[in-house]
Amino acid sequence: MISYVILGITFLYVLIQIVRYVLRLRKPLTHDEIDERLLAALNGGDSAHGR
Amino acid sequence: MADKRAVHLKKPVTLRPFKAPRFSFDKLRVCRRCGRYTALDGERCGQCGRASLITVERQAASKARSSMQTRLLLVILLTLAAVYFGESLQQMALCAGAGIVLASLLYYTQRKVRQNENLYALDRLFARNIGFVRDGLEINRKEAVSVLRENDVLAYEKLREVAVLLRGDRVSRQRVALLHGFQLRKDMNLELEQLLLKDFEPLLAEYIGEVAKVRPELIKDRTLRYIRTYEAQILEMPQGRAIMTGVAGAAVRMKRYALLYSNMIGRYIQDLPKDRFLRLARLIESSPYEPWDGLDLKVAEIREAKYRWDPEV
Repeated sequence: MISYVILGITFLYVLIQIVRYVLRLRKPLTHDEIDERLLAALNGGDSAHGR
Repeated sequence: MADKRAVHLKKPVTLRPFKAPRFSFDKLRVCRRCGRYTALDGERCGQCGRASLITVERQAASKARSSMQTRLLLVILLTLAAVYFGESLQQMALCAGAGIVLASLLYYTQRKVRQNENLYALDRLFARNIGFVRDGLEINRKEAVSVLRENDVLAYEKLREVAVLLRGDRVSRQRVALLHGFQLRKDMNLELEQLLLKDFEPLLAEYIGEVAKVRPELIKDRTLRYIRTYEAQILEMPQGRAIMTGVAGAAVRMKRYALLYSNMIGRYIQDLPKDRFLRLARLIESSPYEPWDGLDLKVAEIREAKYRWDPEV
């Protein structure tokens, strides 16, 4: 019985992971977005200033 | 004459070629040993001295990989536990089979989403370590300033690298101050838009005037807006009118700028060199129905007054 419980937990864990990956894949990040966020964080939201 | 003397005081320099990376974080590297971030070139970490600097993208990819491996390992361990607690051989085989299917499914999905996960890991890396990134860049900036007295060219080159990420006025001001001491040439790797400040700086205005002479193609919209905003302050400078004329001359190379800044160009039209005046006259001739805002009339006046007998105009 205990082995089925563990298997159930494993199944749920894998399901959650796959759902997480798929959800992220549906809202993909781009290099430009990351670059913009980094510049905004470093320059106090003034990422457009300069380049 | 004073202008010529000023040029002679400036130092002829050779700057190393510099190509701004496509994404600013391409410039950033992190030490695998001590975790310090740097934007400067060099093989060794400035803090621990080890040759273990890697790009942030590589670091993020490595973190994403290890996180995926940990998850897969957990599934394998849970499968082994399920097999261990199996009460019969059939139950053990069933648990092993189901575990292998689940682990394979997770592995397959991980392979499919790898690129996207790397980007998420990079975003997370910056979000968690932004303070360390900022500290590293500040150390880089201080390092550049510390070599300023011995080697101003090296200091400028270091600041140029730091400025890819730190775009505040402080770094720009320091770069402008250093550029002020250099003799500018056409073949130099010059920048302008990146150096524009939020407020008026006479050294920057002077630099813009010099760039207008040697590399007029660098005078673009933001520079023209800066010049227009601080026109009154520039005109108070000893060489202010020459700067404004140089910029007006550079602006007439494009019809869009000539139309957008027609008022400003009109104020310096009488001082424009002949080739620049000719260029403006041709622009207006080719598009007589554009809203030149009186610039066409001024051109006609100057042509009549200055170039009446000139067959070229």
